[in-house]
Amino acid sequence: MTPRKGGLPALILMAVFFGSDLEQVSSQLAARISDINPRPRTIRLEVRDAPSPDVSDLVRTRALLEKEFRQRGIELADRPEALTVTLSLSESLNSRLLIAEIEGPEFSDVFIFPLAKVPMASPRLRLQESLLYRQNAPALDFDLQNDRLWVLSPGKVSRFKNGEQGWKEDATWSLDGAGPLPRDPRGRILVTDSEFRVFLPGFECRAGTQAGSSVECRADGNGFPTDPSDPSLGSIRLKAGRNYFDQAGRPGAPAPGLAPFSAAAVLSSPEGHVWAVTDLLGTTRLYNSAFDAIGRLADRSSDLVAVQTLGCGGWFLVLTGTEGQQELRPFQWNGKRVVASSERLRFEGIVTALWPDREGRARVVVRDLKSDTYALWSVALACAD
Amino acid sequence: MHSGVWRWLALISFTIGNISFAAGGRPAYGGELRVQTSGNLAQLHPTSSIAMDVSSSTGLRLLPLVFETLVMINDQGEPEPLLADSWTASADFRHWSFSLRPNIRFHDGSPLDSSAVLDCLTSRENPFIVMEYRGRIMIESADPQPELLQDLARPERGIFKNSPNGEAQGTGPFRIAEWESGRRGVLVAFEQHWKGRPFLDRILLEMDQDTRDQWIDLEMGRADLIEIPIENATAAAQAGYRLLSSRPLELMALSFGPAVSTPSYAQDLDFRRALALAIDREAIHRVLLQGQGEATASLLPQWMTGFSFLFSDLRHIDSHIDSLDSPQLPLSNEFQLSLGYSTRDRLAHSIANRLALDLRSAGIRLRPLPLASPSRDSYLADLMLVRIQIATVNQKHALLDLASRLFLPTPQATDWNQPEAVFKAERELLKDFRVIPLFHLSSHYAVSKRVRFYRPEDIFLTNALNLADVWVENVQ
Amino acid sequence: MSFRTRLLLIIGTAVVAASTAGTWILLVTTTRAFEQLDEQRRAALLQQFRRSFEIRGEEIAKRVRAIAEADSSRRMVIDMAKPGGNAAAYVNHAQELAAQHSLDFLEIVSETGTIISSAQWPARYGYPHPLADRLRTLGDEQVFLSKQELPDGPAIAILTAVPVRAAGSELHIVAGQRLDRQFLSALALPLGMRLYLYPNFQPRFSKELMVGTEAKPDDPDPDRLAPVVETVLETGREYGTVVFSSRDVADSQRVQGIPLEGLDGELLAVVMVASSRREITQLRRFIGITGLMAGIGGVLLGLGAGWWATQRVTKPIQKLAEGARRVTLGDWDTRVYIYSRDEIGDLAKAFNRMTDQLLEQRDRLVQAERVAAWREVARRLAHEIKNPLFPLQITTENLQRAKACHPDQFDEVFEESTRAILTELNSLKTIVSNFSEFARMPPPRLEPVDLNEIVTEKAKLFQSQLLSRTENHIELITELLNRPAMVQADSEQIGRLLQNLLLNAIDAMPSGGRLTVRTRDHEAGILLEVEDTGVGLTEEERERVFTPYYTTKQHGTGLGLAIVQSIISDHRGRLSVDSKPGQGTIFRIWLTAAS
Repeated sequence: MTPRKGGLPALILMAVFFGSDLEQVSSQLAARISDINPRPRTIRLEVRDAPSPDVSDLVRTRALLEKEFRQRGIELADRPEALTVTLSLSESLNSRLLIAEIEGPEFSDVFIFPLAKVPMASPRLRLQESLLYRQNAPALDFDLQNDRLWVLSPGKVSRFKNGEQGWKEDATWSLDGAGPLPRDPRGRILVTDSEFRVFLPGFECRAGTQAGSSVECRADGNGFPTDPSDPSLGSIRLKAGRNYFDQAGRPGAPAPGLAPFSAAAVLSSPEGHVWAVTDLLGTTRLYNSAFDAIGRLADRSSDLVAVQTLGCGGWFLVLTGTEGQQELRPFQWNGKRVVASSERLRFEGIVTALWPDREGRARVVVRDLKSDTYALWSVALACAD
Repeated sequence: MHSGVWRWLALISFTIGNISFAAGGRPAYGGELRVQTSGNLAQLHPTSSIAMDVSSSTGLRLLPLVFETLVMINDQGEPEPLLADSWTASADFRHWSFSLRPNIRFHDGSPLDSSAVLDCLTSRENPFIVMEYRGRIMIESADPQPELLQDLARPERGIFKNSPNGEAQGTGPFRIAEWESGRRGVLVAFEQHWKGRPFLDRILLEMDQDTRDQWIDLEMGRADLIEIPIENATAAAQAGYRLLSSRPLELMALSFGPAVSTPSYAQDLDFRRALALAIDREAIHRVLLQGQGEATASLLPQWMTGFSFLFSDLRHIDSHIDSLDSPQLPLSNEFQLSLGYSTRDRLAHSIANRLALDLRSAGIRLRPLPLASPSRDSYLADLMLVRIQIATVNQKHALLDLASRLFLPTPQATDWNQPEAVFKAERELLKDFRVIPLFHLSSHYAVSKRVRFYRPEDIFLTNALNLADVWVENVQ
Repeated sequence: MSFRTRLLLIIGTAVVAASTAGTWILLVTTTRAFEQLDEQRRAALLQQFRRSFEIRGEEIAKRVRAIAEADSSRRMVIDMAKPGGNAAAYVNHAQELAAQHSLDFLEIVSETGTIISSAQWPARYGYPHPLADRLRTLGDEQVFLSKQELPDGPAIAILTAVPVRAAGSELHIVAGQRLDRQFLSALALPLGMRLYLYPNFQPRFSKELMVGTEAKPDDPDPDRLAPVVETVLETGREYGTVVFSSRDVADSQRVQGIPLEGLDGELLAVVMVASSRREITQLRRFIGITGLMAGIGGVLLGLGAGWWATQRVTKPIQKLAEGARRVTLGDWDTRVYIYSRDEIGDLAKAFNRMTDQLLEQRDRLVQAERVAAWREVARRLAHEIKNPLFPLQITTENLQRAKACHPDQFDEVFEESTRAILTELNSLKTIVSNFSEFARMPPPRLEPVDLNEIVTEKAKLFQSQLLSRTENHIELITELLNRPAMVQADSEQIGRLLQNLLLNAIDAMPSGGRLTVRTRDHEAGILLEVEDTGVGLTEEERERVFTPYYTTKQHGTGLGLAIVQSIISDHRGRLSVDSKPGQGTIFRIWLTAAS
């Protein structure tokens, strides 16, 4: 987009649109309501959760209004003679709107207040993908360490070395001890200097990184590490025999009230951690560290991963679409609401694995239906101004 | 098109799959894009956008490819430089000054300069005076023109120059090579476009094609970009077709016309209110529109104003309505109205028939009346089912435009920048129920496999098809 | 009326009656036979119609079942039963199916009874199907009729409902054809049979609703079918009658109205099966005419034969009658020549015998009469002669005596006695001449004579004599026909006859009176009347008046009236006498007119 040099009128417009914030608006609304003739004595406040799903802002607004009304001596109660004020948040092309529908025995009207709209694509984001490897066998996860590519496949781990003709396999470990895998298996591999650890449904296996080292597998119900770079975030646990997760968080202190989900990711923010959890129906909700719901994404998704940028903060990459054409889209929680980016990364095929690595990038395994091969991609989110 | 045929065709296309738009190759130069439309445009010229029929919208969306304006409005409704690279305005918006982007040429090779722009702007009546000064275009008016930029961004403000042989020359990435009025047009790449030569060599536009035939041509590889009627969009998406879809920017509404003539009961507000209450949009939206677009009771769409949803509760329009269920009509009478719509519009036909059925229970007999030339013959019907394209994302202009097309009084707002004022202006237009909005419809195109572009939202802009950034594969 | 005519009449009547009865019986029985045949044919046609209707229904059911069993339908059920399944995608499916399978009606109904897609009313999706609550209870193969509401009005449909089951869920396909002209035309019907359908859409009969297989010029006006329709609608049962489309009876149709019922027994429509009665009417007419012709022919033939027969039968009778008439006319010498052996022959024989006997008797009688007459004449003669003979004798004896005893007186006595003898001899001469005249009467010479002339002539003669009387006047009047009274007669004898009658009449009026002579027309002749106002005759006298020598007069021979009678008899006329003592006498004489 070329820089705007629109001059004064544009600025004025922008000033209007990018105007008041929630506190100011609540105050204005309360003032107008109290100025209604005849002055209302009792007010019943209701909240409409459509059209915008930003429940948290509505909750905040309601709280602010209640404070305002009390300050002006107006009672809040549900009585027949009360004036009903129904709040809703909406969004026009240029701004957000706080809408109050006022309904009383002698008065009926609508007040609309524009709110600052968080501009959508203010940081310029770009998704960068690079294809690392393609193999015929299914891949559950991979890791890059010390110029080696480690690929976790059902039943084995393979290590590749980069040569002139690309990656060549130079070691394999068999994972017999890990028991039978469920269909559509999920797995994780984390490689350090000395050893690699493989997380499989119900099992955890370790081995040394030298070729030929023995593999030890033990039954472990802890699940996969949520964020490999932050052990304090605990793990997400797969339900036995299924390919979905039923627990997230630290063992012993799991996230309360979490329904089975197909993916979860965590980002840290100034106010604490922000969890993004995609349930089995495809709805992705955002939670704060106390696991209160703070937001929801409009798109249906099947998987998601958290990535980090340099300068633009952490973003969730959400996988949307159906088999054949899936795409990753970045979403962020900016402290107040969900922010989307128009950037997309499309994959042709099915994304069978989507995991974060330790450097804030995403690992994507895409199964190409035409050739029935599995492609391993590394995806990074770059922030440009 | 019947969904069954769609599914049959889906079987064929199932195996074809989709190719990632951006994966692999870089854009290739050359080739021809074959576009089809059901509308027919007599000519492609800035002035032809004035009489806009919904079916000609495709043709008109190609207009910016040939004729560029000084200013363009982006998808957020904000003005962006185009032929003018910067501007200033006085505080009272009475004096504007524009500087032109350098090194722009018309299709005939002549440069774009202030005198050419002046000639073009003054070729029509304006509420302002246009002058040039030192290469800049100055616009002065007695009244404040805060929306001048919106006005200059309109398609009919495309800058053109009449060449000696009478043809209009624009500055856009394509120029008109051939134009058979109402039938066929050929646009050819303009090598010296200031943003660079477009990828395509040619755009071939075939007009007056029935949407079913367009379909078949797409399947047979004879077309690259076709119109998908909104009622077929869901089936097309399910069938795996690559779709370019817009936001809902077309209003479908019931309009009582300029003067409510016969029958006399239609002049009664109670009757119109009862009719409005009796309409069930949900079933039509779910089935006939297959969930596309939006059911609405407002003139401007939700994504534009943010308060469209308020009108769905008709009490916000008319405070006399105490409950949505109370019939306001004495049901002993039987009221008869004819409902006119365009014969070429299959969706309107289905909706008109469904409305007729729904309103029966309210004691209103609606008689669907297909009209061959609805614009000319609308007086034949008591009530018209109309489809109007929303001209611009600017709320004020959009509302003004709609009001004039729907024979409503000019909307008045205390401050067009305040959403509440706009809401109240719109409410004022709707309170008589002279116009009963039904749906906001989106537009859809399907593209063939050989068509390539980066992102669909770069191509299908509001009221413009940016085919300059499109390329085709398998170019010989 | 003659016997022949009566017989002819009787025979004729009998023939006519028999012929008519025969023809009528023939007509009735033939017509009845044909009507029975026609009835059977019609019943067969009705059966064919019902069967055809059923077959069409089955065919429709088969088509719908094919749709329900098709894979695409099962897939549709599954598609909609899926979580997130969208019935809206199928909103146009019914139209496609209907078009593919050539059905007028097709609706896809969900498990909950809402319409998913409707071919006949596409806008009706989402609405509850009118038969939703019946769908489960309907049999799989059941074809039924139903009144369907359509955007442009109601229609009668022949429908079937077939469930489509898959994945534990089901929906119904309710489809069929419209019962309209096309449907009726498609039914396989024989020639001459027409169908009409009246859908029961309005409370009162409305002829616009009537639908026929094809419009023909001699179709009855729908209004004429109204009674059939109304009766069927009222009673709910079949009803048949004859409907006339014009004054011409041949333009009639035998119409059977059959009620068509819906699922709940409600009367949806009346279908009328009409078979033309033209054939049978024409046949009847033909039979009638032929019969009539035959009858008439028979009658004529019969009459002719009868006439001939009567002729034959009555001829002998006629002969008999003729013979009898001749006998009455006097020709007793009649024989009837009939030789049949039956009663008529017997009769003829008897007749002949009778006439023979009559003749014999007549001869005998004549003989006897002749003898009697001669005796009479002889007696009369003797008497008459005796009269003068006595004085003769006396006188002669006187003479003798005178000569003997009184020679001196002899000359005087001789003078007186010879006078007396000559007087008596004259009297004897008169008697003899009267007798000879009577005996000498010649047969009359018959020729046309004018009676009036004779009367006038004789009247003139007597008039002068009558006028010369000084006392005891007798008036003589003639009343004659004002035209010549021509009779076939001998003028002289008639003259004499008249003369005698007149004399008689004058003699009968010694103290005067009136004497009238008349001529009048009488039947085939002329009537001559001589009337006097004289002393009259008693009954006994009247009977004997014509006997020769019967006289009441002191003088006269008494032969006058006998001569009259004789003359009349010769003229083949008739004579009658009417008289009452003291009132006068009329003599009537009929004479044959001259031809």
